[in-house]
Parts: sequence; structure tokens; C-alpha cells
Amino acid sequence: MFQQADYIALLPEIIVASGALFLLLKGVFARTETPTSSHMHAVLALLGAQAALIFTWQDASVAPFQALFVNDSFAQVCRSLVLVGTAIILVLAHHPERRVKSYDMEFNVLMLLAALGMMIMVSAANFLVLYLGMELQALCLYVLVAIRRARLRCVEAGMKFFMLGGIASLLFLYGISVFYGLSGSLSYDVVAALTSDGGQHAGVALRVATLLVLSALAFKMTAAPFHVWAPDVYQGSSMRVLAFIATVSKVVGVIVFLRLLEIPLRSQLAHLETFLFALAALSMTVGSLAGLRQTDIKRLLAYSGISQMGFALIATVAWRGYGFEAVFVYMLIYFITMLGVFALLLSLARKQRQISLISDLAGLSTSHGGYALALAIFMFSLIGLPPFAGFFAKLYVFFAAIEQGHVLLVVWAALMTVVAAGYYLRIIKVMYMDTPQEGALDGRIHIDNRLIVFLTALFTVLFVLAPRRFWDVVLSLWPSALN
Amino acid sequence: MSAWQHTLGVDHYFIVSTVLFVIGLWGMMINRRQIIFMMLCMELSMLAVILNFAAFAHFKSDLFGHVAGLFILTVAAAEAAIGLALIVALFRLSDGNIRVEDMNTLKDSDKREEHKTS
Repeated sequence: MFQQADYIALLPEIIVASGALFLLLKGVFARTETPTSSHMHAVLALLGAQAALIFTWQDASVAPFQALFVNDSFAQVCRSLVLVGTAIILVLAHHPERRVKSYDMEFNVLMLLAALGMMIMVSAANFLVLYLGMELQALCLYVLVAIRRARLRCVEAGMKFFMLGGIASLLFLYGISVFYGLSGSLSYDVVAALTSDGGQHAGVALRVATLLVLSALAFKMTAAPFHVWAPDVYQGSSMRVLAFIATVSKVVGVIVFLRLLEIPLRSQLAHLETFLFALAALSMTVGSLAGLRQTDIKRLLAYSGISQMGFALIATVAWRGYGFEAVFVYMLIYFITMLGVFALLLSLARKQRQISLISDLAGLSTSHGGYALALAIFMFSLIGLPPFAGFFAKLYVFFAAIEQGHVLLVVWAALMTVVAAGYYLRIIKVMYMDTPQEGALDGRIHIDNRLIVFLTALFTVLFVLAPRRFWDVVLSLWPSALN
Repeated sequence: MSAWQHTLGVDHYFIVSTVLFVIGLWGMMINRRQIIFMMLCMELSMLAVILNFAAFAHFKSDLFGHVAGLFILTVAAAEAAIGLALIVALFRLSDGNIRVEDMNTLKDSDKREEHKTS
């Protein structure tokens, strides 16, 4: 029934899954488990999967497992994004010298399984497969958030995440059950053939189901008004889990959102314009205004992520032009910038404790001048100041929207950029001008973290040299060439 | 009796499952006290979706819906296991009361300051 080619196409997923199972068994049988060995195995599994992905790189003609998955170059790139992103976060999060009980074996297994779920999400071509991948990822994330089960804040964050995530997955499920009732199948291609002209009731049902499915994905990517979980969950989870949720998980949510809009829901887009407009406008407004009053750095990152999501989603309104491509480029640049930010935040500590308040960054410019400069570059990029990469990200998005005549939305976005600049600039001010209250930040920064900070800062600065080439590469990957 | 059997179509199943789904969601919204009740409501909504799949599959004479129902049932079991584990962890850390309204240690910073001063 299934060909050998099917299994070869899913080799990366199989490697990640067996890596996770191997780690789990090893955790049961090996009594003297050192954190470093399980960490090494997890990173090796991810890199092995990445190698397999490169060696089995195929053209889009193969749709593995009777078209339950797609194998186009966009899916390949997204899978390697997940693999490399997860591997980088695992490397960054590894601090064997810190004397905190951190459940390393469980952490690594859950990270691998969550990465597997995300890989399934980005390469799914069937709503049921997408649902299973989404649940695999979400269930792992609930546990990861609550992994320090002796701390009330962690468990409470996990519980909130679980409840709200459960509602989101229910909405998604109900939506796809209606798709199934209308079309008799859940594959993207069959759902794409549905149009709202087929009878009055069928049209209404299709539109409601589409909204339910997209709402569930808006939850995954923390777009307002589905963002309520983000600040609490971000604040309660530890920094390494947050690094995963705020970068890889969020970008995967956007990728799936874009793929659904591009292929199965293409015929609905004309009706969805109001929804997308509201999503973008609300996200940037809520994220920019609510972020201004935060003192906790993780909460600030949550609101910053919400407002960045709003800026990215502006371009979805311009779906007739190059809107989706612009969103993808925006998210790629956001992803790289945030990796740099987290590489910094994960390595900074004061008296062996990871920093949690913005005021903890005071004195960074005197104790670690280079890192303060890098963080300042990242903040300028997030604001969107030229000549950093974030400027071009916003430029693409704004141009795509203006080209389709949504000038008002872009003006509002520019206004909100100025508001959001308030909290990004406050971080720079605290680093350079405030004096620390208690002691200096801990001196040594891990070599891996240094390397990632350096590389991401270099990307952010040097992007100005070849923005056109980056854009062309993304365009050549885009899946719309398929249909 | 026979007339009734003839008129029981896919629409009726759809209405029943929609009502069950909305009851489940509504129960999660209005219930502000017990986490266990919230989980029960979640399960109810999930079963409503499975009913939907099973009914559609039956009336279309298609197997895929039944398979989807089985998959969703499995995921629901895994989700319930994780939810109950979280409840146990929360129960150990609290004073023996796990109410939804007690989950308030995570807050916006300005609200937290108001809380302290009051």
C-alpha cells in the first residue's frame, strides 16, 4: 500500500521520533543520567534529521502517504527551520553548571516530540494530520511550561495554557468536522474545491467553519483577540521553554496559517478580509499599548510578540498581491532576531539566578559592552529602524498592503510602531543609563550563546546588503507555484 | 414510527452535536470555580465533534470519518491524562482548594502593585 519513497520522504520525522523514544528508554534504564548526555543525544537526533532532510531533498511531485503530506520545497524549508531552531534552543538552554533541578531528560524528550509535532504541522496536506501534529506539539508544550512542578507559577501557567489551548483545539476540531460534512474529505485539495455558492446553508456553514479553524491558529500565533493566554504563560514558564514557544512554535503557527489561506481556504479569502483586518489591527494595538506598562521582561516579550504579529498580519489583507510572502519574510526576520534576544537572555544571570525584570538589565553596558550593543541592535531591529533587518521586514509588509490600497491600516501601523518603540527604547535606556541595584551580572557567557548572538546580530546588521536576494529566494520557495 | 425513521437525517445529528458542543463551550465559560468541571465540559465538546464525524461518515458511507473519530478519541484521552496530571500538581501546591479564581499569581505588573497597596 505504501511505497518505500513514502518512508524516505518522512525519514527526518522518523529519526526525530525514534530519537525521542530512545531517550525515553535510556532515561528509564540508565540510573546515572548526566544532563549532558541526554542533551547531546537530543541535539544529535535533530541534526541527524536535518542531514536526512538534506540528503532526501526531493521535488514536489512526490506526495507521501497518499497525499496526507506534502513534500514541496516550502515544506522542506519549514521543516529544516523547525529542526535547526529547536537544535539551537537546546544548545542555548544547556547550562550544566547551574545547580537547579531542571528535569533535563524529560525536557529533551518533550522538546523532540514537540519538534516532531511541528514538522508534521508544516508538511501536512490533510486537516486530520494537521490536527494530530498540532495536538502532539500542544500537549508537549503544556507539560514543558509546567515542568518545574514544585513552583506554583509554572504549574498555574501550564494549567491556563492547557485550558485555553483546549478551547482552541475544540474550535479547530469542530471546524474541520464541518469541512468533512460538506466535502466528504479532509484533504486540502478537496476542501479547496468547496465554494460558498453551493446553497445558502452550506455557504454559512463553510464560512463559520473557516473562521473557527483560523481562530484556533490565531491562538497558536498569539494574535489578538486570541492572545489572552500569552502574557501569563510567558511569565510563568522558564526562559528556555519561553525561547521555544516564542520563536519556533509561533513561526510554525504562522506558516500553517499561511498555508491554509494559500491552499484550502483560497476561495474564502474574499470573505475573510474583515477578519484578517481585525486580527492585524487589534494585535498591533493591544500589543503596543499593553506592553508599555510592563516591568517583567517575559511579559514584555509576550506583548512585543503580539504587536509584531499584528504588523506581520497586515500583509495578509493584501492577499491578492505579495502579501503572504511578505508575512513569511517578516516572520523569518523576527525569528532570527528573537533567537539572538533569547541567546542573550538565557545566558544572563545575577547571583546564579536568571534575570526576570527589565531593571535587572541595568549595568549591562559596563559589564558586557558587546552584549549590550547586540541587544540594542536587536531592539532597533524590532522597532524597525533602518538600516537593520527589521526595517526591511516592515517595509515589505507595508508596501504589500499599500499596493492593495490599505493605506489606513498602514498609517495606523506606523503610529503603533512609534508607541511600541517606547518599550524597546526603555530596554536600551535601562542597559546604558541606569545603575544596577544589587551586584553585577554574572561574568562568564557560554561560547555557544556568544556565537549565536554574534551570528544573529551580524545577520540583522548585514541584511541591508542583500534584501533583494533574500526576497527572491523566498518567492522561489512559495507553494502557490503548485496550483 | 416509520415516518419518523425516514425523516431522521444528517441534519438532526448535526443539530444535536452543535447543541452539545455549545453546551460544552458555554460550560467552560460560565463555570468559574471547578477545574474538573471545565475538563468535563471539554470532553463533552470533543465527543460532540466525534458524533459529528460519525454521523457524516454514516450518511456519506465513508470510512474516513470513523477513523477520524478514533484518532480524536485517542487524542482526547492523552489530553485528559495531561490535564489531570496538571490538576494533581496544582493540588499539591495549593491549600487543598483548586478553584479557577485562585489562579492569580501571574498578573500584569501594574495590577500587581494595586493589589499590594490595597
